[in-house]
Amino acid sequence: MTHAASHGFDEACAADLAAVVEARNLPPSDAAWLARAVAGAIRPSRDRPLWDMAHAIAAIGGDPADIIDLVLNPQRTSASALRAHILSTGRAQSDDKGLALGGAAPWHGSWTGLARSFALLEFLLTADELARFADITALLSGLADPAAAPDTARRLAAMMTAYRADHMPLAPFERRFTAIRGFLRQLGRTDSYNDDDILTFWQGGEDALFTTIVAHFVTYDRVAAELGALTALQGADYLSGIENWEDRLEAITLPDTQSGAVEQAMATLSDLAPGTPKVLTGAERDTLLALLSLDPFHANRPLTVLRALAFGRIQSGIGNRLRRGSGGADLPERVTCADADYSALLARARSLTDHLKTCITIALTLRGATGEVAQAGERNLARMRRAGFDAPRDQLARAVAAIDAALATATTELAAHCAAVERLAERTPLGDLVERDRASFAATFTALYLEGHSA
Amino acid sequence: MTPSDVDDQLLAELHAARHLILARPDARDGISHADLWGHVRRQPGQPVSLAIQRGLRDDPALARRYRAMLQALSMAHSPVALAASDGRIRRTVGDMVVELLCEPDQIPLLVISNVADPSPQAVELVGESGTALRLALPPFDGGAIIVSLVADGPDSDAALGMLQDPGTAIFLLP
Repeated sequence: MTHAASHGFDEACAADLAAVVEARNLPPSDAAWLARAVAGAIRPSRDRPLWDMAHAIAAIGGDPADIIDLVLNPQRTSASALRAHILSTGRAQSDDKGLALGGAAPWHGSWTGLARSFALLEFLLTADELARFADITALLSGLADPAAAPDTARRLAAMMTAYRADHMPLAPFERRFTAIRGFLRQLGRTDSYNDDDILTFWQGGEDALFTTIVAHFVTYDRVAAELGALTALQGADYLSGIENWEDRLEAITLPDTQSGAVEQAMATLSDLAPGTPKVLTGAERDTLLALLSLDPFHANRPLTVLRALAFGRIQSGIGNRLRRGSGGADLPERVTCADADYSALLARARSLTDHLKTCITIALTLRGATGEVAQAGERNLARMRRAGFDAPRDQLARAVAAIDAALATATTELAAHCAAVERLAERTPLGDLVERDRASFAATFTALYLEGHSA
Repeated sequence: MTPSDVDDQLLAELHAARHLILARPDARDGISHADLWGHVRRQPGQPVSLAIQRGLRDDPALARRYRAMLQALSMAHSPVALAASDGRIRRTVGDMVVELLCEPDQIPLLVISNVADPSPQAVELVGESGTALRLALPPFDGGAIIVSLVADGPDSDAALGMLQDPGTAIFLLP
């Protein structure tokens, strides 16, 4: 699954960001902040982090090469480690709250803010195969004079803007959000739209993947939930009218407001270390990640999620077939959507939930649980036929301990999805739902891919 | 731009940011930027990481990153020699001039002239193959910096070969 093309950034950008997150071992909240700083989703000014960065470096003082030592050092990424080191040089201009510059235009910055600034600086230094490394180093040497900070900040901002222009084509996304908001305003349902509204919007719009449109609605929902009804987002100063808007932007970026648990679970499960027992097959992992990436729709819009999983897969199959020109079923057969099956999706989600619960009993047992859980865990471990579960017990215990929290989060979310689908099925049988949707998607696919191409 | 355009821009940026942290590209393994920078900042003669040296020869992307860092650190650099001249080996590096004097039967000399204060403390030669060689420079006493390439140790032969190759990049380091 490639996120890049369908969400507004290219593969290189995702790799540049992941490299910094990994090198600094950033917790989810700082990773989310960095992603927002890179994308420009910081208000009131997206250049503010660079302004603070330039002033902070002027306040720290010293040789640019020493600043880069500090920025790249994986042992000095936390606010407390940076504070301890910088104060030990005896050179920095600081007060009891953080770094500070006096003079005609006084500036102040916290140590936490500095840690985030340095993550952004590491990104700028290392992005694009270090293309800007030498230029940035030269710029930093000008900061021996704090009066140069505003100008340095502007130059860094220009570099960031150039990076976005190269790697983050956001204009189509902006247009799509404009269209979504216009559509919902017209319906008079800005914050109470339903599953069929999402479908109708996709059918009436440009030739986009259904899953791409659903992902836009997920973002729209999160923003609406955190920043209030989007109808209110009309005035130029709407953000300043919202309390703690900065924390709220953070909550939008992180799938789970408090701890980033879902994001953390996705990261853990999508990147299992070699030698980890085969808790998930590739197909199981993809199903799970597809569901979690639609959080919170997996639990509160089950029909849209069923549509995305069943018909989204068919649509991407059609897209692949069009690109390759051959292989697998023909287009006229694919557009009928014959194999879309909501009951089968529910059955698969249930059996995956059961499997994960089994794995959790094993994990708890290996952590030393006693009583009934341990008995079940031992039974499950003896019966487990997947690769890696026959490893020596202490080795298995270590491997499973690294992922059991992620498994627990994934199980909870998957169970919530199953429950939501079951409630949906109580109102209308899944068989009826899928027949109705099949007719609808088949008509749209026919118009998009058959009639469009014969014309 | 109307206020509602700005709102849609924020939505698009938040959308990209959300998915940026969900995208999990394959991790780039190998040598970290911190380790590579540590190698760039090493003192001449300091023990070097064999893994990094091997990486510089075998991995062109790593070699490019290394040169970018070296360029950032250097006072001046010269990526390749301009068109071969009269057989003399003479390179302009920033404001300075690096020259190799190797008459037959005489000890080869590396001469750096037009040096200003503060003077470079080391010279690094990076071959097209990724081989990197760093030599400490003697103190500058107002004239030119002169390094004798025989008496100065085992790296001298290698330095001599590299200086004769126009593809060798030269970095003068503080």
